[in-house]
Amino acid sequence: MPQAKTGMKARRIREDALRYGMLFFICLVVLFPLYWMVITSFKTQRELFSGTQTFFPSNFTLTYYLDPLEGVLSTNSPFLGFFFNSMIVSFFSTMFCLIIGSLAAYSLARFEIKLNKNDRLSFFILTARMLPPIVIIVPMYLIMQQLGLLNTHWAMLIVYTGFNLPFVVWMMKAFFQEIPTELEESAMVDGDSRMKAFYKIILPLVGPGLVATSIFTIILTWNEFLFAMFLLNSADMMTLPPGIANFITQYETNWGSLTAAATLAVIPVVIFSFFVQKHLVKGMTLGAVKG
Amino acid sequence: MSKESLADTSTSSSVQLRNNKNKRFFKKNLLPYWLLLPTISILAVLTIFPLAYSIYVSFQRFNTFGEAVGFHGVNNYADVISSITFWNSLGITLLYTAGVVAVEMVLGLALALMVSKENKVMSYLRWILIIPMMLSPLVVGIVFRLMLNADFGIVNYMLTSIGLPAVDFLGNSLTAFLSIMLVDVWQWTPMCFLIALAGLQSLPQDPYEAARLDGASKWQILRDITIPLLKPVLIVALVIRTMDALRMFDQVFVLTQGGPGRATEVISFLMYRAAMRFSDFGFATAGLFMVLVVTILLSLIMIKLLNRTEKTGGY
Repeated sequence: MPQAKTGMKARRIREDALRYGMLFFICLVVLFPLYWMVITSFKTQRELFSGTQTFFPSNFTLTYYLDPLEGVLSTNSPFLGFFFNSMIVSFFSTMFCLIIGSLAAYSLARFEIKLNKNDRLSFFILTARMLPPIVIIVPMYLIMQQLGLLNTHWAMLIVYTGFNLPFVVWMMKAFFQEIPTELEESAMVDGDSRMKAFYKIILPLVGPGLVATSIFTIILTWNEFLFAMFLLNSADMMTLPPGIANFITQYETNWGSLTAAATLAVIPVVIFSFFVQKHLVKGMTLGAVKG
Repeated sequence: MSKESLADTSTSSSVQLRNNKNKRFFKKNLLPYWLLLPTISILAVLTIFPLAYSIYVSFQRFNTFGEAVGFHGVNNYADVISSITFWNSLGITLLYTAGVVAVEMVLGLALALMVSKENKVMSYLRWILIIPMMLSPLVVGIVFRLMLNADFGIVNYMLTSIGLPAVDFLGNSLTAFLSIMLVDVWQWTPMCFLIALAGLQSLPQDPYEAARLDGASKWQILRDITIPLLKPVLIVALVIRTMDALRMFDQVFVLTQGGPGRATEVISFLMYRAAMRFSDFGFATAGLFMVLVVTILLSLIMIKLLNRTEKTGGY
């Protein structure tokens, strides 16, 4: 008996070693491209193009961040403008989305609505997310052209609010459904109106859900490229993704500036994603899987 | 849903009375509709209206300046159907989608099984494993373009340093196609992983104990218990990934611009090119409609699949 036990133990240790070894290798595969992006932004061009690749910059340089000509953080570079534009567009579209979407989500989660028999309405809302953006983009471009909104942040706010709404509605619906109805019912028995019960009781309870949803929406908006490229064409209006794409054509071989810009653009997202890990599943799957 | 929980609470008669009152209140009140109105109207304006508008555009003739110059009938559709580039793109897109989704599903499930154990190390590992999907696909494209560069890319450097020949990854039809697939797998396996993991963590424990008592092997448990129980969740991952892969654009834009030749010209990129470079909005919208039909058909099939497993499977 004891022999069998030690045999099993040895097997378990072997299995664990194999498992952690594989996971270590996978993490390396996941993190290496990011590491490579960051160190390339600190390398001199001569080092990058020299025959031997170095896994750590031998001449550490901040040229691509601070240099007045090549640095992305210098006032000559449009990068900070892109960053600022991305912040404005992400912030306001997320705010609109959350306000409008939470109301709809609350309605879908709490009321019996004839239109929503068998979740039909919810699915209609979901199909808007499934629509490939490229199908909408050409008419959207022509419509914005007619409205004179091409190359304005208004165009981006309208488009992003619309396209992130289904996501916000589905995610918030899942959060609202987790709260027992008895809570607001008892508040209503105490004489509060439904809206007052919503503000006083429900909203504080879905607080974490609201935060998670808004962070996701911000990330989605922050990363969006196709709409931004079609609808914005001057450097002072561009958000980060089309801005960085412009860098590719402008500085074809200036990998230092390009990776510096990419690094700075990625930092907020990586930080944000750390805070929403727990709610990730609900967000990415539109509440289809309990997270 | 509210209906069930209302029914659950109706134990005493007073509660019953109150709930009846509430129910009537819910039915008569227009509040739920007012709450839905902004969302529905925005979605209608931003999806149905542009769709209708693009049907109109798809029947128009456009000159080289991108101005509509008159009715063109179904000629745009005929142009699309008879264009070899369209069928080429559709084929590439479908092949690409099938390839990446299959690989991502298998890898994602395997990864989820590896980290499903609950401990501190695993929770950090999980965070690392999901980072790729949070990044902008554009940035990911740039980083891989740097790493896969034929002359100074790190991948070729590693290959040559262990004695293998250097590969012109993005300059060769087959390797360019495989490269964009590789980038997709790197970025989106985490999505499948995450969904599978969530499914794994919510599985009931009883069947596992029974199987363990029966002395089932690990492989048997995986094949006969885990995968069947996980099927509905895996279909969710399948649907989401398929939809996203069909519309993939950013990586191709950064990495290959559809080239070399037309080897990686996925459908979104072809239509982008038709619309933006050649101002042929009629051709682009007509082509996009046909893509939309394909997408809708595929998603209907998959949603049917999903509904069926939801009814039979006990998720």
